[in-house]
Amino acid sequence: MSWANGWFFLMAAEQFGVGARSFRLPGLGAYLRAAADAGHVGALGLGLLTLIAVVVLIDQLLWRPLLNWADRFRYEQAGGLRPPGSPVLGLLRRSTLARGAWRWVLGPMVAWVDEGLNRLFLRLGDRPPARTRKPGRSRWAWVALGLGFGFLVGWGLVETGRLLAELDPADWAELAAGAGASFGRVVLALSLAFLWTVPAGVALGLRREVGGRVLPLIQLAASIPATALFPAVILLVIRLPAGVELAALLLMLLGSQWYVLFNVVGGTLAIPTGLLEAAGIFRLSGWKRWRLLLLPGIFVHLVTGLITAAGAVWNATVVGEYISFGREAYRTAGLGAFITARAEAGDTAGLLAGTLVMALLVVGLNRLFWRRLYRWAETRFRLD
Amino acid sequence: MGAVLLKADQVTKFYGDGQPVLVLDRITLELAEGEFVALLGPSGCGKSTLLRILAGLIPPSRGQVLVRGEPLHGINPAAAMVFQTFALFPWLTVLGNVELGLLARGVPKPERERRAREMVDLVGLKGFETAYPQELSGGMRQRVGFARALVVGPEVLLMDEPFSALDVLTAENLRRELFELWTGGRLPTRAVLMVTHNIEEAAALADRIVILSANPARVRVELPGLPPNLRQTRGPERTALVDVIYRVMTSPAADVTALIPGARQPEAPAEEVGVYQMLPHVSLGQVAGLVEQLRARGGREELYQLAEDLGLEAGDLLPVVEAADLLDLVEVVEGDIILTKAGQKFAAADPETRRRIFRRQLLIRVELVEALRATPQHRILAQVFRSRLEQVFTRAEAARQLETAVAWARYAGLVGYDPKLDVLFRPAEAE
Repeated sequence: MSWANGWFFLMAAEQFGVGARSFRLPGLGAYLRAAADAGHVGALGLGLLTLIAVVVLIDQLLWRPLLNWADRFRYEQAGGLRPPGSPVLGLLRRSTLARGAWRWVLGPMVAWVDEGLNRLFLRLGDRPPARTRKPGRSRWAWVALGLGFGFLVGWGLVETGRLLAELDPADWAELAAGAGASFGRVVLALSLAFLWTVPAGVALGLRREVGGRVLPLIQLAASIPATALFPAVILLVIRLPAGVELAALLLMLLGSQWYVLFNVVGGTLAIPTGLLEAAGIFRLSGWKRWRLLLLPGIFVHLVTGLITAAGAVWNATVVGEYISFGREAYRTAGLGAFITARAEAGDTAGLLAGTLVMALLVVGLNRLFWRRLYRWAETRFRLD
Repeated sequence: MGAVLLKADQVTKFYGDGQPVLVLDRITLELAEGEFVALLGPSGCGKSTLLRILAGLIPPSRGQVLVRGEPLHGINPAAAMVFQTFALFPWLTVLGNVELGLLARGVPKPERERRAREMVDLVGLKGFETAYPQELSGGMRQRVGFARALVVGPEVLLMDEPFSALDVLTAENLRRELFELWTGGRLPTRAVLMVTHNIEEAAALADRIVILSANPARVRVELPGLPPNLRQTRGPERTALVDVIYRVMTSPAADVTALIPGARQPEAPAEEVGVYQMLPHVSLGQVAGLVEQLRARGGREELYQLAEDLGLEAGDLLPVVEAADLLDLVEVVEGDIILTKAGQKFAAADPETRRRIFRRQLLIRVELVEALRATPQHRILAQVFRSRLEQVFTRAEAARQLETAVAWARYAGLVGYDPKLDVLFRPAEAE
């Protein structure tokens, strides 16, 4: 899943501006952006297809073989969800060519490195214990290091304070309003993700066969970076009333909902058959079934999904709230927009303040809300 | 006997897509008011499936379930169920779990609580109303399971191996309490149907014992249980009944009337769908252990005696006996288990000779091992065999069959298996 996040920012990073300059690195992200800027739908479609092909190929060629191979390093003997099978790994394992390469080239190389490291560590171990140094000197070294470090931190703090002092109350007011707006948007995006993924995910997970099969697909969908789809989204909705607002929300949703869906399906699959049967025979139905069986059953997974999604949503605010499209820049009030706008204007103080507030907000929410929620979920709703 | 409360009428079940596999074959079974019936059969024979069909959790492929004579559609409203795995909701307290069925039926809160408390008292859990399942021992959890099923006052109580997840002493204790409540007329239900693979358990509890065959499940025979006063103590009558059941279950191919004169045979004589060998899922190490035990006892022992001495349940010992029988190391005669010639030779042999005997017996007696060895290829995908087996067994059972066959053949050095590639091959030394 971190892989998807990497893609997310790769796409964003290929196309950015600082001050008056705009940077464009050759890449799929920049291509998509240019296509959208020019309003060239055909090119946009092709770019998206390429992107999906790349993501699928990397999944098939790299991650799935790796996941399957890594299965041997698991401690449990049985049980748990097995990774989906990998035809590529099977092919590699059966291929004469790969076996030959291992036998004649890679194998000896690995053995050589292994041998070398072995010898190195043996030699290190053989060394007589280092002679005891004068205690004074090492202590002074530590003190010097500590002082240097302390100085750096202090200097940083002073500089931060100086920069922040440059901001006038209007800036702070804008920042506060922006943080509020972004927070609202994050809550809204997560709520929307929650509202559609829970019924859909549970419905998929209850059909056990289907659920097992869609899980890898959801994972794949999650690794398609939302930022790449963003130009297309903008093209679609920017002309609508409140288009920027809608575009930002869509980006946040696109970047996060899969995590929730994935966990909801997985959580539903993890509900023991016995509990489902018991609910059946005692005729729990409708809301009572949701309240007593399904929601508590998936709760731990749901919270995990929401925590991951929350991280992704905050990422998306930076990209989604401030959009330059064609020759125009669209923005909506928000913390992400604030940060992006200050960065473009070269206002270091504002950028610093915005980033600090964002960091505080995310860390604070994690500590005060998500962690507690998770701990509670885990003690109360664990299935064992 | 009272009115028939629940009836399986020619219930047939197929499993699997593609090539459907017959799991239950035209099973007819009646449960009358006041009866405690045990449904006995080897592990994995489909008796739990039958119970779920009677509960309305799974629809039959053919035939029907009748509740007081009316065909059943959907969940059986007259039944409650006790699960092998307890199936308690971990986020609900004992009281919350017990109230579940009442809640679903819309019983108002005060009455719900009153009835749930009553039932918690009945099963001996007073004082644990607010505890969560994690805080309880296995036996106490199953008590909650009983209370939850009984609180709705079901006409029929269905129990799916209710004691098999408990240790021996706990199970014994809970069984006795259940029996006393039942015979004392204090259980708020009119009939009980219990699925089990434990012969002693069936003999200790049931008015009537229905024995199923495996693969597909058919009703082999129905035996009357003991009079209630003889059930709970291990007198000669109970020993005799257990012995009879052992005899029936250890000779799955035999005609029941030959084993028990005067036994009540099911009306529909089973028509053969094709005979195929089914391997019991035990290790050859266990088979060797059984042979060892028999040698120490002079080569002959009563089956149930052996099980009792080893502290095993029938479900655990029977597959080992079956495997040893399959390999022609032992034979079962009238409830006695006897070492064959090959078995005696095996018992006296050193490890290398034992391996050789295993090898020979596997090749002669086990069709699947024979097939594994008979493939012309040096290496072959295990999936080939699995697909072949899936024409006869369910997908899961096919996989287990191959797993067992391969484990045996590997033990004897006849076949090698590479789990990474899922490939079977012939080891060099056995060529």
